[in-house]
Formats: sequence, structure tokens, C-alpha cells
Amino acid sequence: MKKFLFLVMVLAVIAAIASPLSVLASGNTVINGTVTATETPVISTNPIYTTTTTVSGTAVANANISLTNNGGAASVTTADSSGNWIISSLSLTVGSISVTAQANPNVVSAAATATVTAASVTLTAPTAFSWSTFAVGANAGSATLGTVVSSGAKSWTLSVADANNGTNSGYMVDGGVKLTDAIQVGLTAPSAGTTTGTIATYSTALSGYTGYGQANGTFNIPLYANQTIETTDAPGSYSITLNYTLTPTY
Amino acid sequence: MITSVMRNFILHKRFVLLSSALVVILLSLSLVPIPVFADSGLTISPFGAIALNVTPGEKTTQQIELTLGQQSQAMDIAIDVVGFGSTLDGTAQVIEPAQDTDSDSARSFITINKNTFLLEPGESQNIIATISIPANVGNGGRYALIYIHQLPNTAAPGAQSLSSFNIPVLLTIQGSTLVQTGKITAISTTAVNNGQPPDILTYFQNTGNIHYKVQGYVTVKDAQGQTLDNISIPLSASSILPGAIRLLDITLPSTSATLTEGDTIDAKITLQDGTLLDETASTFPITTQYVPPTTTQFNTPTAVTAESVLSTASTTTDKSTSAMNWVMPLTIVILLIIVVVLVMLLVIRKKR
Repeated sequence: MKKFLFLVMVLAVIAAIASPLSVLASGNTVINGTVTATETPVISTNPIYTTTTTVSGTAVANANISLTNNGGAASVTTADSSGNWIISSLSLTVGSISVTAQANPNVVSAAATATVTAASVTLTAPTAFSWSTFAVGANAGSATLGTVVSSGAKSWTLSVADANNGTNSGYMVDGGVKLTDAIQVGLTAPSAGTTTGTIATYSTALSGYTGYGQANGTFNIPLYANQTIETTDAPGSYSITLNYTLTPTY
Repeated sequence: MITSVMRNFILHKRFVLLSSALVVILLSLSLVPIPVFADSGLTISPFGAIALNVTPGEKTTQQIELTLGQQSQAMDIAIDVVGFGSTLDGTAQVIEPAQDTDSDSARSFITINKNTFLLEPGESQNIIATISIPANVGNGGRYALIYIHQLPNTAAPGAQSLSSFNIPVLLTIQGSTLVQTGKITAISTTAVNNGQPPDILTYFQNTGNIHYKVQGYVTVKDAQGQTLDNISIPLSASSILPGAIRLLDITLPSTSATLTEGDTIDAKITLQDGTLLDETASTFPITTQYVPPTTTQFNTPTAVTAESVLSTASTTTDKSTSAMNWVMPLTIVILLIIVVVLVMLLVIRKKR
């Protein structure tokens, strides 16, 4: 058994010594040379979405970098003397990217790969709130919170409108009857003696609040409401529907 | 034989100790959060405008996936192809088919494979939009909105919220004559309130037949024609559609000199590549006087348009976990099973 193990070890050493590539050239001259693969580059950009236009990473200094998306045409650049590389103006599709490096005279490296996913957003509108009964005067609704979760969606706007864009838009209605005062909604709770704004001002404030040009993140959508009831308002069951619409910039 | 060995083993103190240790380990593991994707809300993927270069007679499809979170309630969804309008600040606006009579509408080119459906919690639906370009489509761009919206439930007292998405469709007819022209239709300033510097409002109309983004700058001059300030108008966040008027709103930097009656404003609007679209041929008188504060602690002047308001501190950004909640259901189930087994063993042992 020991002899066998010894034999195996000897063979392994011989194989290691003989491993450099031997090329048999014409004229029966044997040329021995070592060809080393370039070190595999690193893709630093993470995550990568279909909206991603610039991908960067590191590689061997001054190496030629080649990036392909799903086997398509290559986008190329050269790493700088520190090994940093960046490729811009990309138009990626869902799938993967593959990046290789070649530092002369070395052969092309193994490919570094990364997944390209579709940009998406998740909209959770603030949940409905209700008043069991209204009292004459101010009636504050319970605050609710919605969110926009953006994954790679570069820029968008969020607007809010009364789903009823008819004559009673902005008012709680019971059939064709509206309350005297428009519903008041806002991003923050009204302080003592103040009120929140109209749906239109809430929508405008929300657009500024959620922002533009955000690739990733969770954006809160607070909703505070207040409904003032006048003594002249008729008894009834009043309601309103707020429509939250998310639009990518174009 | 085997049974008796096993019984001896499970009744052994070591087993109890081992089991207890296992419980502790699992309990510790249960405190380590396992990420799972957000399970509420309506997700749309991909989310972005559909901007395509198309040729007359071409037919192409676009796929959009809608997913409803598991914690959400089932919702009825409707998908309509509508006219594409925009407000002065560039917000997309739905134009109902009856009012969508512009020749650059692409509404009639687009069909959807399903116009209404019920989306159950955790369910996904693929929406396929087929875009068929007529052979005689003409020149320039064609536009429409794919409006994906939740339908309201039966009216209930109180307030209800709905979720919806606008997907802008912008088609450029390849090989056709694309005209990129525009004009400044008006310049004005807002009133000076509480000593705040006024906004300079430049109204710009796309008079061409294709959408584009614009940038530029305004120059404030005194009555003698001396330049007081140059303020850049950043690139518009959204394209301006043919025929649309965009309000480019910039705030006068607080470092500007005093504005008095007789001062004037010139505006210059260009394409993104710098191609001049229009500049004011005449100047516009300033009708409101602005005297900047005398303190020197001004912020760096920043020109912003109505479209480029930055997010505030209330937003939170998280690249990797923003769409995740932290739950550990599997670990808890395993833990419960082990606890039950241990209790059973203790009962058996007591009986013996």
C-alpha cells in the first residue's frame, strides 16, 4: 500500500513538472513555452438591471476588456494602469453579461458573469381608512402608509387623483350628494388649528417627496386625512377613492 | 433488540442534553433573518417607457408582468390603451379615446391580450402588448399610454386607495422625416413672497414631429444690458411630445443681484446635444422687484426645474434588501416539531 502511494506521489510530481505547454513545431524543433491565462476580471456593478447603462469592474492592468450581453455584440474597453475598467452606453436585456480580459501576451481569461434583471417597482398604495361616524367639525382620519419599492427603475413620478374626475372630484360623496367641504389630505398630520391640503396639493407634494432619478430604494407614501362636517351636511354614507399612479419618466 | 437500544438511548440523559442543545441552536438560528421578497403591493416588471424605433408595416410585441403580493387582497385589474398627454410639468396624462384625435396617436396601433382580469394574492399575469405599425404611418413619432389600473371595489364609507401604472409608448418611425423644432412661447417670473427669490418660468413648445428633451439657460440683464446672472436650465427629466408645452421652472439664485424694474431676462433652449432650438428674440421685463438678503450665508445656487425636484430626507435607500421582509417560517416550524417531540419523550419517561 505504501509503495502504491509513493508511486502515485512520484507520478504527480512528474506531471507537475511536465505541465508547461509543449509545442511541436515544424522541423522537429521542440519549443517549450508557458502560456498563462489572464486573471478573471471582476464585475463591480451589482445589481445589474435592464436600465443599467454603465458597468464597471477591475482586471489585470491595461487588459483588453470585452463585455457581451446574452452572447450579443461585444462592447470593449481597456483597463487602466490600476486595473479599473468601465463600459458605458450599454443597452442591456434580461439575461446575463459576460466579461473577459486579455492582457497581452496572455490568453483570454475565463469569463466573469453577472445576471441582468428587469427593472421593477412595487406600489403599495396607502390602505383605506374610514370613519365609523362623522361629527360636526373636524374629523381626523387614521394615518396610513404606503410604499414604492424601486428595483432598478431609474426615475418615475407618483401622482394621486380622485378616481372620480367628475363634478364632485375632491369631495366625499354619497351617490350624487357631496359633503360641503372637500376632503383634506397631506403627507403630515395637521398641527393644532391647521389643516392638510387638497388632493391636488398632496399629489404635487408627493411628487417632490418621492423624487426622481432613484434607481433603488423604498419610498414612503404617508397619507393623513381630515374631513370637516358642516351642520348643513345631509346624513349619509360618504366615500372617496384615491388613485395612486406611478409613471416612469420618458 | 433495536427498539430497546433506541428506547435506552432516547431515555438517556445525553439525549435530552443533545436535544436541548439542538433547540438552543435552532432558537439562535431563528433570530438570524432569512430574506424573502416583499409580499405586499402590486409589482410591475419591467417598469419603464417603451421607446422603440419602428418601420412602417412592422409588428412587434412587448411583455409586461404584473404580480400581486401574497399579503395583498385580490384585485381586479384593467388595462387600457389611451391617448398620451402631458401637463406643463411633464406629468403623463391619460387622454380618453374619445378625446384622443391627434394624428400622432399610436393608440390604434396597440392591442392588449387581456384587458381585464382578477389578480389573486401571490399570482402573476403576463400582459402582451402587440404594436402593429401601419404601412402608411407617416413621419415623426407616435405616442400612447398603456394604463394599467386597479378597479375600485364596491363603494364603502370612508376612503379607498387604488394602484395604477402608466406605461408611456414612444414610437419613432425610422426612415421618416424627423423634425426637431421648438419655440419659447412665454417667459415670466413668480411674485416675490417673504423675501424668497422669484422663479423664472420659461414656457417652451415642441413644434416638431418627434419627442425630445431640452436644456438651456436664462440670462438676467440690467436695464443697461449688462449681464447680472446666467442660470442653467437642466436637462428635462421627461421628453416633450410634439405639440406639448413644457414649463421650465428655475429659481433665481439667492446670490443674484437685486432685481429691479427694467431688468430683463433672455432664455435659450437647446437639444441635449447643444443644437439651438430657440432663444428669445426680445427681452421680457421683470415686473417684481427682488432684493436678496444682506446676509452672506447663501446656499450654492442651484437651478432646478419643476421636474427635477430631489428627494427629501424621508426616503430611505437600500440596494439589496429594499424589497425584503425579514421572516423565518421554516425555522419556527422545525423548532415547534422538536419541542413537541421533547415533550412527548418527557411524558414517556415519566410514565416509565
